[in-house]
Amino acid sequence: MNQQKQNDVSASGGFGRWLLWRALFLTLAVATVGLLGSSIIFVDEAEFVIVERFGNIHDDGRGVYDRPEDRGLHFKLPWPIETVRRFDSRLQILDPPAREIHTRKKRNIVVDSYICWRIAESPAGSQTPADDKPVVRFFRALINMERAQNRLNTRMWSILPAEIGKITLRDLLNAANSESGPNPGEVGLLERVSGEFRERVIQQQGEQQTLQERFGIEVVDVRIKRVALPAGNRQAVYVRMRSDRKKETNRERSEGLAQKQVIEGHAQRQYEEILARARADAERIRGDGEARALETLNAAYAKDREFYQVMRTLESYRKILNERTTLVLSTSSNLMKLLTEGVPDGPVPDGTVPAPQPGKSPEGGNSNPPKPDATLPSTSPTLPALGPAKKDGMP
Amino acid sequence: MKRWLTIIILLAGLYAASGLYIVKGNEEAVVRRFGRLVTDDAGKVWLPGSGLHYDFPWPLAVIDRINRKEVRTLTIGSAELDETSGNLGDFLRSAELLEQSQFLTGDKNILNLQITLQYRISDENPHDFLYRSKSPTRHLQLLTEAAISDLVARSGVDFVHPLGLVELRELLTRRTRELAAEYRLGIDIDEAAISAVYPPPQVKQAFLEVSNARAEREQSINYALALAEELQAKAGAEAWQIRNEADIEHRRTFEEARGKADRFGKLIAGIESADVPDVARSLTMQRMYIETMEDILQSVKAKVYLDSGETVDLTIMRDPRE
Repeated sequence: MNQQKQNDVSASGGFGRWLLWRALFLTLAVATVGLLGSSIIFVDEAEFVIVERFGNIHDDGRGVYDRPEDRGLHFKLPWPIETVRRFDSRLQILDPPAREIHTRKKRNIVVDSYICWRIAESPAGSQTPADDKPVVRFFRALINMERAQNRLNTRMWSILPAEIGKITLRDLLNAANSESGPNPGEVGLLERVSGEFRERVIQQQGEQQTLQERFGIEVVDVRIKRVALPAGNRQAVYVRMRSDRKKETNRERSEGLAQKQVIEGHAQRQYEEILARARADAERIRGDGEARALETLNAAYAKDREFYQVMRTLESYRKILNERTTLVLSTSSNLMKLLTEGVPDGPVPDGTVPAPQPGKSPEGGNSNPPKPDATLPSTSPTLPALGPAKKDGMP
Repeated sequence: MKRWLTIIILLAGLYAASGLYIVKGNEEAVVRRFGRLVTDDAGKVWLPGSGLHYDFPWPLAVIDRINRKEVRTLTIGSAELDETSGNLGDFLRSAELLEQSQFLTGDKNILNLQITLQYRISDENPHDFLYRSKSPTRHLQLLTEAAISDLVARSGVDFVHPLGLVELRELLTRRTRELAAEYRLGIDIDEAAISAVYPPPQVKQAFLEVSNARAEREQSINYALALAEELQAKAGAEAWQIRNEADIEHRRTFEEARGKADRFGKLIAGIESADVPDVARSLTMQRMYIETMEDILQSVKAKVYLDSGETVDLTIMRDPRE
């Protein structure tokens, strides 16, 4: 630039006049651009704009831009006739450090809460007069964001102790027992208290107007985000927690033992039941076998009952009489008859044998040996003393 | 004069050219013209994708770049400290973080929690994220803290540590989603995870004992169940054994009986098929009688023969050993 000026200067003879004209032209050009520029307003997505004409906020629809549709390009009279004030329209967060507060039962708790607020916007299409617009109220009452934050902070700490002072710790913390979880359907205790707190922040009892009507502040979100116990109180809590844990440990142990015993008892019972059923089945199977055996034998023996009796009795003798038995025999018995009487002339007597009766024989069976004194019919009618004289019982 | 014009035109050209902007591959642009958000015909936010674009130069148009796909993380509280490591600086910093991790349960126990939130800028409403709040992530953090405080304040200590942890995580995810939508944060919550739960160091030992007791309980129950199963298998085997023995006995009894019956039947059949059945029968019986007597009398200890009708002195039957 300098280089160029100097070139121009050297080219022209009337240096002073030329400079004056140039300066005037440049000033005019800059002023024009400046004036034009200052009569344009961009209203951003994240802000509200107030236009003041010599300090006065106009009511002709060109004074306050705080509706959703107001964003974008607008015109105004150039500076210094009309000036612009911009306000952040976004949510602001006020999150002061936690404080100790008394509950109703004079117990100290540390409460941490926050406020989310913003300058309220006018709804789309609304035609409220400029004086009633929230942003104008905000500007007049609080001027800027910092002062609004301070104001809200003060308000918060005047309301919160009063709210907490109305309740006990039990209203904030509640669990039926150590294993119960939150009921998803119901509103949380902290949320409920937070909700009431929010109402109070917006409009305290005894106040005629809401915060929005007074200051143009829309309170969006107020919450108690944390409740804690003061540091001095914690040791006592730890002691209680330890003893609680001890109890829980014992409970787990004894419950485990009880469950184990139940399982074992159940298993033992099942075991016995299965075996008992099996034994019952076994008895049935055996009985069935015996019944069938009996049936078969009966059917066979019924063909000649007497023959069977004889045969069976003889079998019994074999079993009953052994090497320790003393037998007293009559010499007139069939067996010994030959010894004393010699060989008879006639044939061996018979004919007295009754005819076999097959079929219905009620007696028989292999389990009941015939009585030892059963007499042998016909073949040994003279054998009365054939009772075994057992001296010393069975071996 | 001409040079002046050239310079002015050049400067104007440069200024106009500054309206060119580049959007990177993982980004999208949000355009505000004269401060107003540019939307498409449907009223949705207009989001030019990656590539070279042109709009009015600053300050007529302002370009913001966002990445709606990027998964961002928000962490509340700290994980459990490893006592063995860490210097003093770590310790001091962590003391504050530990304070931030402490929550009160519904039964007035103190537990430390670490919450990890995975979120993205909303697909539908990215402009809410950009322009609605001064710090949407800070608001999200406050809301999450309030939500977890509320949930923990309604839970018992054993529910949080650790029996109901899964349920609690689901509730927290649902709640943070609701809140993010309610306050139009322009944020989509992918997942709210409870990444750490641990008791304060002062009561850590007591908590450890409880979890040990729980493990023992599980173990003893599992042991009992295994034993029960074993017992059942044993019962099955024994029951089979018992039935099997009965079956065998059944068969044996029956077969024995059949054998005897067959033998007897054959004997009878033999007698009956003889020429004179009556004689054969009588003879057989006598033969059996005599054979039996023969065998018995051979083996019995003492034999006393008497003539019939005489009285007997039974002392002769006394056992010589007595």
